[in-house]
Amino acid sequence: MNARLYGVEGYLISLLKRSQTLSYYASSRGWGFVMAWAHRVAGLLLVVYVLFHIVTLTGLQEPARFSAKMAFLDNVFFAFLEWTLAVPVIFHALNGIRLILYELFGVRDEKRMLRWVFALSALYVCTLGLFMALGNQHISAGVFWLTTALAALLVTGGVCDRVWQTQNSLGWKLQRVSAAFLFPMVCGHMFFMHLNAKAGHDVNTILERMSGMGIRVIDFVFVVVIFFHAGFGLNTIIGDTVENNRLRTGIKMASCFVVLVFAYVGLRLVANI
Amino acid sequence: MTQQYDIVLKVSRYDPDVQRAWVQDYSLKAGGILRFVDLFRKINDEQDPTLAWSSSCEHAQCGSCGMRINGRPLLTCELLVETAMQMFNTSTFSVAPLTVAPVVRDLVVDLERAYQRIHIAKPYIIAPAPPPPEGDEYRIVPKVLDRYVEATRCINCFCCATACVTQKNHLGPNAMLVNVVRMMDPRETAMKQRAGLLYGEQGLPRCRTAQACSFVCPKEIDVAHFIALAKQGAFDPVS
Repeated sequence: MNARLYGVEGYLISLLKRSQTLSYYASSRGWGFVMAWAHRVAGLLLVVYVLFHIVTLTGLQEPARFSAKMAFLDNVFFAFLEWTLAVPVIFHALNGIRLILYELFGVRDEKRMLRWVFALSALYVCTLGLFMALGNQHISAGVFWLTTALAALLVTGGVCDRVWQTQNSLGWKLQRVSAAFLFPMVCGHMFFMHLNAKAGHDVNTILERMSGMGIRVIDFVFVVVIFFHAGFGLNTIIGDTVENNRLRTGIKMASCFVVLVFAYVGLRLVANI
Repeated sequence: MTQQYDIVLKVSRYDPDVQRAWVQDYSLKAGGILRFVDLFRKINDEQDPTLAWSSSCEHAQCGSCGMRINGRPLLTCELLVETAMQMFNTSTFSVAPLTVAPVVRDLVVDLERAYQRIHIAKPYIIAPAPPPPEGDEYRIVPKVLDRYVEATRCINCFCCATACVTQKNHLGPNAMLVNVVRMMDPRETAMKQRAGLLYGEQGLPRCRTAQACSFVCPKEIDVAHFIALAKQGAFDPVS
C-alpha cells in the first residue's frame, strides 16, 4: 500500500490518512491491522443493530403498534441512518470474504483484495442509495430469496469443502462457514428491504411475505446462523482483549445469555407469524 | 564531511525503583548512517548515562534491540537515521519499548518473560525421525526445504508479537511460526502434539489475519502466509 495511488482509490486512502490514528497504525502496522480493527468495530455495530432489529420486529405481533413505529421512522433522517448502516454491513461482509480467501483459498494478493473490498463496498452502498431514492423496484419475494438462498448455499458449500477437513477448532470452522452463508443472505436482505417503500416498512406486506413456508424456513435458518456468528464473534473479541480468566468467563457467559435470549425471541417471532 | 541532521528522540522512560514512567526528549546531531543504537550510545556518552537500553550482536541476528520507533516495532541496530527519516517523513521520533513483556527499565523489557511463549511452543524437534539406514544424517531435499526455509530465519525479536492485533491470551506469531516450521520439517514426527499446540486455545484461533506480523518483520518473513498455511490445512494429517 506504499505505492502512489490514483483515482478514487487514491482519494479514499488520502481521506483515511487524514485521521491521525488511522495514519499512525497504517504506517506502523499496515492497512491489514486497520482493517482488522475496522472489522471488529463493524461487527460490534452490527450486533447492536441486530438486537435493535429484533426488538423492532417484535412489534409485528401487534400490527398497529408496528405501523406506528414505522411511521415514526419514516423520514429522511432515519432513511439516511438506514443507508449508512449499509457501510458496516457490506464492509464486514466483503472483508470477511477477503479473510476467508486469504486463510483458506491461498489468495495472497492483498493489495488487490483490499482494492476490491473498497470498490465493491462503494458500489453496493451507492446502488442501495439509488434504489432507496427511487423506491419503486419490484421483484417476487419467492424468486429473490430462492436465488439468494441458493447462492448462499453454493458459497457455504465451497467454504465447507475447504475448511472441514482441516485441524482448526469446530467453532473456528463454523464461524467461517456461517460467514459464507451470511455474505449473500445479509447483503441480499438489506437490498430486498429497500427495493421499494413497502418491502421493509408496510406491516401487511411484511406479514404476508413472512407467512409463506419457504420464506419462513429461510428466515429460521437466517436467525440461527446470524446469532451463532454474532455470538462467536463477540466471544473472540472478548477472548482477544480480556486477560483476567474470571472476568473473561463472566463477560462471555453474559454475552452468550443475551445472544441466546434474542435468538429465541427472533425464532419465536418467525414461528408465530 | 557527511551531512548532520538535527534529531529529536522522545524516549519512554521508566524507573522501577520509584515506579515512575515519563517521556524524555533528547536533541542531538547525527549523521545519516548512524544507527539508532548509536544514537542511544551517543546519549549515554554525551547527555544522560542513566538511559537504559539493550542490544547484543548489533547485526540483526539476536533480536535483543527490538523497540517501537514512532509506533513501529523494529530492530534499532539496523535502523539508520536516514532510513528512519524517509520511512516516517520526520526527524522527531518516539522511542518506546516492545509490549510483549513488562518493562525492566526505560527501553529494556524482560525478554526472559517474553521467551516463555516460545518455550511453550517447543522450539526444537520433539521426536526426531530416525536417520535413514544408509547414512548417519537425515537429509532434507531442497524442494522440501524451499517450502519453509524462509520461516527458519525468525530470530524471535518479538516485533511481530508487538504488532499483532491480538495482544491477550495469544502466544504470538513467532511462537506460531516455531510450530509451523517444525510441522513442515520432515524430521519432526510428533505431529499430534504440534497440532495441539498450534490449533490450541492460545494458538491459531487467536490470529485475526491482520498481517501486521508480515508488515513489521525485520527479517522480511511473510509470517501471515505461514500461519495461513496451517489454517488452510497444508500440512500432513495428524499421524
